[in-house]
Amino acid sequence: MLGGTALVAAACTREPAGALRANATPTTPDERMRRAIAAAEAELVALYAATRVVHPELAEVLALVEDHHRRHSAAIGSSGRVAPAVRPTSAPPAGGSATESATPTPVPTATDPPVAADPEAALRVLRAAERTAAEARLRDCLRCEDPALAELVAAIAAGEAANSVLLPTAP
Amino acid sequence: MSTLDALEAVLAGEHACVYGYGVVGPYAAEHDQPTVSSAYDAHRFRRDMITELVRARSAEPVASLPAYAVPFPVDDAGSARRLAGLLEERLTVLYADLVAESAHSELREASARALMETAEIAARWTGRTSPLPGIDPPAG
Repeated sequence: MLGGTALVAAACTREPAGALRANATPTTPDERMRRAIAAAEAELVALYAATRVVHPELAEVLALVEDHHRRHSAAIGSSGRVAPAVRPTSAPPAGGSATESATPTPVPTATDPPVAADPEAALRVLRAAERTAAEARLRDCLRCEDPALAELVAAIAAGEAANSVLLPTAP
Repeated sequence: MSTLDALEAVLAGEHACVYGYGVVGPYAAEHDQPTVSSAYDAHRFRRDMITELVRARSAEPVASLPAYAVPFPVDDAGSARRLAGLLEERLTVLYADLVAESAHSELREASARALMETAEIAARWTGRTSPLPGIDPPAG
């Protein structure tokens, strides 16, 4: 193993920190931050869902990243208004069952964020949104009182920074 | 774990990364060389920064080992990328620990930014990320 004992010992998987108090009244700064981050993540989910509708050719990869944002919401502990995870509708798993076909299909609504018709422009918007979100979470992390929440928020920032480099260029 | 323990763990991890990129470099593909070079510089920069932070706490910074065991043979561009990705993914865990141990805002900012940069470069090498790098790294 490369890196010696410290590297290995720290590499075990842990439970996401601070996933609790989903319905508590946000009275403390940390609670208000949880709510604000959950709202920001829900906006990202809506942006991805809207982009999938306009660009079904990107649906598979976009659904993966969208699911990351759902997981951020769940981890931050204010996940009450976030819909269940979706599967890409354009690429059903082999041998897909009735259960799979029951997964939600995104339907455009009047409140969806506007999406560029050009796929590269749409992807550019998503990359920028991930980068902006990562920087915002980094700033949030500095204001957390609970160290476990700070770690979680920093990890969300890291996940969004990684998403920004993983989003593909247009096919 | 104390702040000092977390700093020392990160320092040991950065030493391993600096060594590891020395293994990666000669085998990395031509088009990967700029990434190797910037990652190598980033690890050396953070290694020196963390060393100073440990000294500032009147402690002895952990030294690098003369050599590190590499978990699989690195003999082509693909295995070089794989090792680089593994190094970065492991380091995210150490920086996440340091964020949790950073009461001081400057240290928290530095460690959170390092976590972000490390997750980003891990994603470049591996083509994947987990939703919460450092807390719940990609499986395998």
